[in-house]
Amino acid sequence: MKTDHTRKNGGRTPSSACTKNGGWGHPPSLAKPAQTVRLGWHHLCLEIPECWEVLGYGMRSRDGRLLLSDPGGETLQVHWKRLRRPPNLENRIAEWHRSQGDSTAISTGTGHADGWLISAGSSHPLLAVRYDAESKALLTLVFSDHARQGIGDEAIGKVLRSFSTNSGKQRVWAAFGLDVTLPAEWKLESVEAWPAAQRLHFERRRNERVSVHRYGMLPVVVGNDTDATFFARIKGSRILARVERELETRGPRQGTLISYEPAGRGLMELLRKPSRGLAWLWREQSVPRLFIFDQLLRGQGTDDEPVGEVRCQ
Amino acid sequence: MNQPSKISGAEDSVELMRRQHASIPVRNAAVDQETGEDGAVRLHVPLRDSAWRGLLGGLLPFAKERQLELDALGEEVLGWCDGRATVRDLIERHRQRHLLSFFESRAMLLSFFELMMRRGVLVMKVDDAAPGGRNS
Repeated sequence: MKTDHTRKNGGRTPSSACTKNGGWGHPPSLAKPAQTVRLGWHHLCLEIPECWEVLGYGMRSRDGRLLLSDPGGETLQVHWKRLRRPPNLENRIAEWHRSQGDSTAISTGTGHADGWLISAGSSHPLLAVRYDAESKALLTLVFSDHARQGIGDEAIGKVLRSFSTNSGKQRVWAAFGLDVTLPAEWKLESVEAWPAAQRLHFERRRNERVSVHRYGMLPVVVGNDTDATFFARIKGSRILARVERELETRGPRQGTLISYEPAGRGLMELLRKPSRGLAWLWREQSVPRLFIFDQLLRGQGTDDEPVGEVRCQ
Repeated sequence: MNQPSKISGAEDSVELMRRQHASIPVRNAAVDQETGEDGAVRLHVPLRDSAWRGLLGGLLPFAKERQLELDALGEEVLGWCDGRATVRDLIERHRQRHLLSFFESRAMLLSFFELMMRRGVLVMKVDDAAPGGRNS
């Protein structure tokens, strides 16, 4: 599948987008189809072709990898590892070539570009490594032959140039069609990536959680339920929920604001610290998907401001 | 050390996916389909006679067929399996019909095909001459 991946979605600037936090009011990307989408995970943000989807992921901040594919096959592996001191990148490239059983490609096609040390022969995967001093992480991107043939080295160069660090006070988590920006203290807790249902769960401390949901096939998944009923259904019977406001407008979106209190069981109910949940549900007609931003914070405060920002891809 | 795994597997995955997507799901002609009064679609899959079943058939009430009930989504996808459409065609059709991403549709359809193959409703015709096939 060869497409023009050169245009950016909605004119977003990838480098600045990674640290931007505009609250609920950030305009969603309504222009479809997008040519590129944002990938945000541990330590990095990239703009990638929209047909590249994450098929495998690592959860740890210390080290891990992402595996991306397009309909034709694997396109990109992203590896990260936190290191105490900057590594010798040339050695890393040489080690990688040795692991591939090839020692000749090092001298034929290694060079620096946009902060990356790149190594690529004519018939090899393209390897790009960099040490990100802000996150103290060694980042390695491996673009497969299939990716090189599919979008070409020039487009791969654009992917590399779109890199921005993801280690500031605000962190971007963008994968599986979700794109959320949260303060750094919120740690990725779990991921559920199913067909037509994707959820990212974050935790700050015990009993403080943020979840971002995205649902597709709405006539089948939601059916005749209202969005509020659907939310109550997925939360289960352990909450006391109340619709605060319907047709609530935040920025360009209109949706439903629900408050809820988690209900404990038996003695746990007595020991439970007071906490208040707020969920904002809205539909993106252009996608079309149902999105939910669900936050559970300690205390009984009435502050209903979201702790993060969600984009819709 | 941040040593990426050898990426030779990536090329295997390209070939595997190519072959997978070029396969054609073909319905078992012996399977009967009926729509009940409640609108549910039921499949009747005949069971193969084995030696044991032949010997004990007169004594024990062996079922001659297995019944499967499909939901609306399953019925829809099975209806698309005309013996000509490839897996890739069906994924694209499903993706456009339900406005999903390619890999969302792929995951749904492959698990459905796997179930149907296990139950004897479908077989997968693999074209060895197709790119990635044995004779390509």
